[in-house]
Amino acid sequence: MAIPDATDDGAVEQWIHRRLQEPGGLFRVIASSETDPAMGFIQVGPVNRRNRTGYGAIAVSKNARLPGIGQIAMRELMRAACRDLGLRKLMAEIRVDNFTAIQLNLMAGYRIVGTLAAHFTDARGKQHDVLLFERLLDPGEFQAARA
Amino acid sequence: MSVQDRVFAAFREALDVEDGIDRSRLVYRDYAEWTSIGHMTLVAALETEFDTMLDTNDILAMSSFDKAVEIMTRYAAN
Repeated sequence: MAIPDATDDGAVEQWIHRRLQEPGGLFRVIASSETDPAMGFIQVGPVNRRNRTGYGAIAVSKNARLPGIGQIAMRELMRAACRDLGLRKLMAEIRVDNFTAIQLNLMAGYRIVGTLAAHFTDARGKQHDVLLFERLLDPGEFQAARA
Repeated sequence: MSVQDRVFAAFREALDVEDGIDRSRLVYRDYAEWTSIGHMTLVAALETEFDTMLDTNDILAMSSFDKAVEIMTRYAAN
């Protein structure tokens, strides 16, 4: 989780560049082959190569109207982390009031490890508790799930 | 049980649909329970009912009950 300092085109370009340089991680844009505009992204990073673990995240635009796009993004995130990066575990940090993301992660097989108290400070300076999730990855379960 | 009945059973389980509902009302984002999260629950219910894993394009295309029946008919045949 992070709050961008700026969201103009230059700042976004720099942000994507930093994501692409993440050692051992990945960043991929979700786009429709029919409608073209980006609908979101998946990313893995930071990654611990020795332990083969990493933090995974997805983001989907509110304007993305396709059914199941978040679910597909989550499946592709786990598949890519496991098959492309060789990770054996993904982790995620989610604000306790982000119910949709919590549901999405639980349905994708993540489990809640615990609560990080006052872990995230929002743009207004308010602190929020954050749930820590983990998802063990089995290469066998992602063989037929390429998005 | 027909494919249509099996698909409806999944809808009933995932989206809390009543038995007598006009099935043409079951449209993604038009039917109140069929939200993005509801869609995940529905896909999981269909995958359990048909003991399969849905293809990405089929998940994206499943925007109504009729479309779901059309898609799941293919899976039932395999």
